[in-house]
Amino acid sequence: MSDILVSDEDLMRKFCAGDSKAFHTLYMRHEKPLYRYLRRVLGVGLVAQVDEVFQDTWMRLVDARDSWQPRDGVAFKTWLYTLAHYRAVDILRKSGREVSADEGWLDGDSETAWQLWPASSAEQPEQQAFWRKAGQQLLHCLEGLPAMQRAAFLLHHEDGLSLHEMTQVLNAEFETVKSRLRYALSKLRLCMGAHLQPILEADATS
Amino acid sequence: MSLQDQHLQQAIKHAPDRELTPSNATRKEVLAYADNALKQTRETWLTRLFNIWREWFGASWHITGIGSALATVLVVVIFWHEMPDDSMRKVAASGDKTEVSESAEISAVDGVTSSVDKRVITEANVEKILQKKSTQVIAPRKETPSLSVVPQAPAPILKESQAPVAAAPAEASTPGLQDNAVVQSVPAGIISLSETAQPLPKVALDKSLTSSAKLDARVSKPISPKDGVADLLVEINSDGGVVTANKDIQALKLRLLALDEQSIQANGACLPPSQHPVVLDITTGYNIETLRVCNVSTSLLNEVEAYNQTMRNWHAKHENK
Repeated sequence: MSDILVSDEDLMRKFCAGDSKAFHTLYMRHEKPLYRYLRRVLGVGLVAQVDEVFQDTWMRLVDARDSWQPRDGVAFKTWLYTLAHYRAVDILRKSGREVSADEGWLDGDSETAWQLWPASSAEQPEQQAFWRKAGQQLLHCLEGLPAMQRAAFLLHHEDGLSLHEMTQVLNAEFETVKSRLRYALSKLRLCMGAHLQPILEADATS
Repeated sequence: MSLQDQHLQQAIKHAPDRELTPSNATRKEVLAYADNALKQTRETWLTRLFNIWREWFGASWHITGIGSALATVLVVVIFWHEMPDDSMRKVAASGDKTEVSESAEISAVDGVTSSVDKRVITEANVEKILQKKSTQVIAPRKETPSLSVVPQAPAPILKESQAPVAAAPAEASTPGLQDNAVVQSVPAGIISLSETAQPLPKVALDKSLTSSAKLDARVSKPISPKDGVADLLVEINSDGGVVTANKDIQALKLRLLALDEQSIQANGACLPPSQHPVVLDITTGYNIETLRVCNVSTSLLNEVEAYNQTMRNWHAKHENK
């Protein structure tokens, strides 16, 4: 059976049984997404800490493998990101950066500009260039979000975790998670709309 | 407001940090850490298994080990001592039983020595036994006397110039032929010179006697002087040796006679006849009574010879019975 078809939970079971190759597969499967997540959550100011937190997250996973029990509704990915998030929060707190500011602002005007964005399914070459610029701008906008809102957005939009799974990773109530995600989206839309609207308008006139 | 924004999701997918990866060093460290953890886990399981085993048997583990070692040593020691002895018995079984018993005695005394040492000791002991046996003289068994005549070897004649073999202390206090009964009562057996290591008188024997002799060194009681040496000599001279011997046989005076020619003193006088201490004839087991006389004549020698021959003939006849 190919390693691609094997679930994370089966690989983790094999690793717990002593199969080091299963861990290698598991690691390579989650290496880039986890590293991106930590890089984005920690932000530009703590970029030097990313490798340390990333390595420490995997080591904690290895050390805690005996306590891992696959349960319904709790995927390996959720557990992995929980470990990573806790470690990232520790670093953020030690660095003095704000991690609990859930307050945000909503700007109705940005919602109007948001409607001008091209369809998300567009894969044309010129559209890809646009989205590449949009992605770069989004990373800049993420830097302006509180860490918890940033984490909520990334977990939900980048890593595909459900709200229920996010409650475990973020160790927060469901409504709290929803609120954080809502604030994050509003801020990002405003930030992105302000940056991209001139581009969109120029493209529209041309 | 929807919590899923497709525009933002599309934007994050095209973010320029999409291909960010940790450094190779970080990757290697993580993978190596996992491998080491699994390796330690295997060792830990072995350790746990050992600990469990030690918990179950730990208390008696050392005792069991020491006990096993002691039991092994005990078995080795037992076989070390038993097997060589058995083999030595087998080797000695083809030889003299006396040698076997001697080697067994030495083996028992020197029980700690190795089998090789025992073999050497036993061989040395055999030589010792042989030397000891060479000093032993086997005396013939006494027979009940009866009247018959069988030709035998000539009677011994003692001469002063010849070397003595053995004799009792020179106590000529009570020489007599009646002591034959006492001599006959002496049981036959192995007699060692060490048992007779006493100062012995000088007794000369005839060559024929010493060569054939196989004389026993057993010392008998001295002859009583009341028997009268002079009367015996007169009787032999008058009646003859054969008649005298037959009379002695009827009287159960079983003995042999030897003549010791007494030297004449400076004044020409001859010492009165006397008797030497008695020795045993190895063939018959009879006492050999030495008669000291001056001027031993040929006729006297012949009669003494006839006397002794009569005695031997009688002994040979009844010995066969």
